[in-house]
Amino acid sequence: MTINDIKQRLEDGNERFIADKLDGKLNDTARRTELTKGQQPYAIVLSCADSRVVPELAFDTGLGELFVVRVAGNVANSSSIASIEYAVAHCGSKVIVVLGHQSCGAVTAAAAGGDNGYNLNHLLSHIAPALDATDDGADINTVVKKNAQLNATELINRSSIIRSFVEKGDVKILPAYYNLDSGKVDFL
Amino acid sequence: MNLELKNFTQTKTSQAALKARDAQEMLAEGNKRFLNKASLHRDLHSQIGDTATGQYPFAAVVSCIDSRIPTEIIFDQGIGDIFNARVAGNFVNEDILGSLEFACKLAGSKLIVIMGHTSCGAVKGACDHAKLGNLTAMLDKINPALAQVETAEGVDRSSKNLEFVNKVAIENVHLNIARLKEESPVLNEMINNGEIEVVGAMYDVATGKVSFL
Repeated sequence: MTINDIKQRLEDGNERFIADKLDGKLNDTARRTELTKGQQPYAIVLSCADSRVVPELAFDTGLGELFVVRVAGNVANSSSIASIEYAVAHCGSKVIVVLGHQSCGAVTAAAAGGDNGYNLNHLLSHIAPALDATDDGADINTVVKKNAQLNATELINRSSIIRSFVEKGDVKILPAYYNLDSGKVDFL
Repeated sequence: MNLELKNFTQTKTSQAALKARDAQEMLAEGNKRFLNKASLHRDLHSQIGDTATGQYPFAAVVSCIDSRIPTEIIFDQGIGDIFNARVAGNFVNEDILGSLEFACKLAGSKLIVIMGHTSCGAVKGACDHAKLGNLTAMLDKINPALAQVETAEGVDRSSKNLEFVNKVAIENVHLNIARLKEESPVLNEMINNGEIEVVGAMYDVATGKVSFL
């Protein structure tokens, strides 16, 4: 599959999801058995831990199609980056989707500020650059989109492995935005 | 029963009525449906509408990024049912603990599941002491589990020995449950108050079965 084929595959799957016509393919015993030998997922999705944003449903993919890294706010921290390096370097995945979503709770909490305790503060600090890059009082969804774009850039800035694949044209990073009220994924 | 479930989306009220053991039962039942090819064909479109303004997930799952383990599919859950953090090797770090604190304290989840799986690539990498970019530091998180699993003399401790790899994966789940309690005062307090529970689980990539530990 070329990078364009993969993007098309994701867009087609999302259209089926929106139309409530999932194929739901590649989830059976035969597929499981085939995959015990190994996996070669064509894409990686870095998305939020939110219960309403389920990449495999939103793109209508089955077993073995997508690597999915999830953390609140879809942030590129060192563990997300390492996970993605594994997918790119060892498994040949060609597309990385950084998927933010409408009304993200983590982005909302980061915008509200205040002390949320050590772990949440640590998480929310990753979202500060998106707040800095948008106007004070900007709409949350504007910050969400900026956050997806900045984390896409962060993958290249902080990983020489990902950067070299992108520079060679073997991997493409696509920031995207999931609409909670329609299920539609907009590539940014 | 299935007909009702099929059209059911969690609400604040339904979530509040659940205990941790109900949540575990719901996950076990969902995995059974997945295994029996009896997954529900939910009306996802109406679930999208129902959850657009809020989420009331009954459980939070920490699992691996492995493409063979789409969490919602193997537990047969719909939109808004489970909060899911995923990282290679399903360990907890500050950001995942922060995500779980969000899930339980702010979004009302009753159960945290830390789920490892057989033939885990990250665990294999740790067994082989692989070194590559940011991966090196990440695999260090799995080293304590590796050290904890004892083997008789002469037993292969590399990724070629799958039985060993799977033992390390189970130990890694146990150690991360302990780490969660130690490193998140927020979650630890909720556990001590009986508001939430934490359980470990293992997914078998060959059979599709989830076993709670």
